[in-house]
Amino acid sequence: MATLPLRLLGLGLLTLAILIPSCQALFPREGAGAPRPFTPGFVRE
Amino acid sequence: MVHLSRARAWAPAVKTAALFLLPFPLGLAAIAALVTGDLYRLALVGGALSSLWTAGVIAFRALAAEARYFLGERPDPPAVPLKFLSALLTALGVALAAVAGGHAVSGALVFAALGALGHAAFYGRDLRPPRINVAMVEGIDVAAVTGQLKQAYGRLRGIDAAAHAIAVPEFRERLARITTTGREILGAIERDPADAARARRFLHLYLDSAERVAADYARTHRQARQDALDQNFRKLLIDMEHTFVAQQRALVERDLVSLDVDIEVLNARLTREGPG
Repeated sequence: MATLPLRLLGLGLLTLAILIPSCQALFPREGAGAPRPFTPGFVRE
Repeated sequence: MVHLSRARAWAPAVKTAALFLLPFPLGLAAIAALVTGDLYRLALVGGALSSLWTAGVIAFRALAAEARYFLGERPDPPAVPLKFLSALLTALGVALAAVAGGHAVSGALVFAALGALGHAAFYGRDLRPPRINVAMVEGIDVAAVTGQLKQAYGRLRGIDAAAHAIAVPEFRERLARITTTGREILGAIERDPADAARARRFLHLYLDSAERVAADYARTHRQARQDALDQNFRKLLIDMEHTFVAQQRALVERDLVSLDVDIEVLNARLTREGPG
């Protein structure tokens, strides 16, 4: 079936796009000390 | 009546499990944010989780509606672009999760684009409703003919779904030829809707019986392969092919009187000798 590789690629992309930020949200990077988006510090900067 | 063609049509809906299971770490992140009292992160993580799960619900509804459409159980695919909505929510959920994970807005947008792209490739695009352009002819109720044609196209999709579940290549090919001829007949009716009145028995009676017989065979064939049943079904398929071709020819030659009698006889045979 010609669409199978496309579906597998889609699943791979979706997995990476959801899992990576989800895991990073669980274990936030320490270097992320910069002002967070949508906060007063971020707006001032 | 659960059989293979139904299972095949519904199988894509299982794929929506990805949108419910993959964000699992976000649930733990929400608990962690709650424990540490980080309300900002909790809001982001909660927003991401609810966006992704809502995207999953919408994608499931889209794929379930498509399955019913392919089985001929509904005349049209969903009018609202549900998969597109689901992709947008996925992108939003991924972006919120990325921001919660410490990414800048630009990084979050990259993840959002990846998520939307993956969604489109994995679940496919929204189905477009088939164009049924019934020509305007004086004295013909175009809306009624369009409704009849939608129903007839649905029955042909039902035959296609049953054919996919049949393991015997010869039967699949015969059914494919039958539905191809059926679509040509419906195309002829679109061009000249006056034919709809003449092909009434074909549209209502015969297509319905043909779909039922094909679905019954697909179901019983799965349970037990019997030579007598196969032989009987082969004869019915040959008769069906002849009737479809005869219907097509009759529409061209405007000779419907004798064909209606043939259809009556064949329909009685389908009802009497069908595998169900």
